[in-house]
Amino acid sequence: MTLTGQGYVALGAQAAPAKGVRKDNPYHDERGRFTTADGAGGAASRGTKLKEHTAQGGVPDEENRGEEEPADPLAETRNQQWGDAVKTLRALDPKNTHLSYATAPDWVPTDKDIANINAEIAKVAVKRVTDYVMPGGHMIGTPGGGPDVRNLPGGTKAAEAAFNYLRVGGTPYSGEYPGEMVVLPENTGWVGLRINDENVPTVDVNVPKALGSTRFHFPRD
Amino acid sequence: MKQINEIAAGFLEEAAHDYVGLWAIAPTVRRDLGLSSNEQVKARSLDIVRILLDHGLLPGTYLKTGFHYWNERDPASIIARIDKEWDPARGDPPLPHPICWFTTKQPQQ
Repeated sequence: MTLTGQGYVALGAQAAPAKGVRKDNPYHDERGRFTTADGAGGAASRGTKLKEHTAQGGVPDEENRGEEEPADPLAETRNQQWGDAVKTLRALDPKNTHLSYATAPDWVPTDKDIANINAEIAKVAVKRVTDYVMPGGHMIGTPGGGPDVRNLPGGTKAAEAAFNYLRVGGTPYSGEYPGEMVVLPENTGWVGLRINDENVPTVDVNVPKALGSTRFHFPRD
Repeated sequence: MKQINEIAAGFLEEAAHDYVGLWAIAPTVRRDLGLSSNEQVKARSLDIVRILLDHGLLPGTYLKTGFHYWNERDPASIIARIDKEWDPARGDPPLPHPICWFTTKQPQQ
């Protein structure tokens, strides 16, 4: 993304990358903006209108006094939301084109910017789970006895590895569940890890708008 | 398209090895019967539940502390409770709020 007069837009079809801006730049500030190695480029005063200089080079105090624009009361919240969203998207899909953007130092994301990146997160989160569960459109594993039940080898370690892959970007669920569960980004679904009644490590996947429900059993070796 | 009995048979098979939750039944009914209406998914899922109950499965709440059987034991009461707790306007019962799970095991006396 790059900042335009209208906000940020994705690099690529809409805009050419700015010189020195490229994907996978390892230097990002806490908001996900590109910085230099020393972290420059991020901090700037916000909500302060630049003082206007007169033709004589002076600053007419009367004119500039009290010209500070009222700070956007939601700017900090939106910055936090944006930073969190960038972190989530980077965790899910480090090469996502939405991560290639540059902004002016005092840029504050709009609600629309945040909605856009969250929509991308939802799309990527569902794709990540779908690609794992159904690579090439075919369910992984072997029939496990019952609709949408699949068996996979590897026991506990494999079950934990699958759960840890699928849980990326998710939020731990604190409610009742007979194991450990996370809510997938943007509430796109849930993934749980439990030991079933036959002592078999089991991963429950529930992504209503893409996969429905699937259970993976990892019989112990 | 699968028939109700065929779908139920799959869950009976699954219940022999693991608890079966409504969170798993509803999406399967939706997909296998090609339904889009939440009300229809609920109605056909309850048909599946009736078959499971006819085969002796018991409902309960499945928590970290184990499987807690419902007090309701007769099918009419069980269906009534599920019907009351399932608001189709909110979609299918999700994994965190599955309403109930089913097991083939009888409670220990």
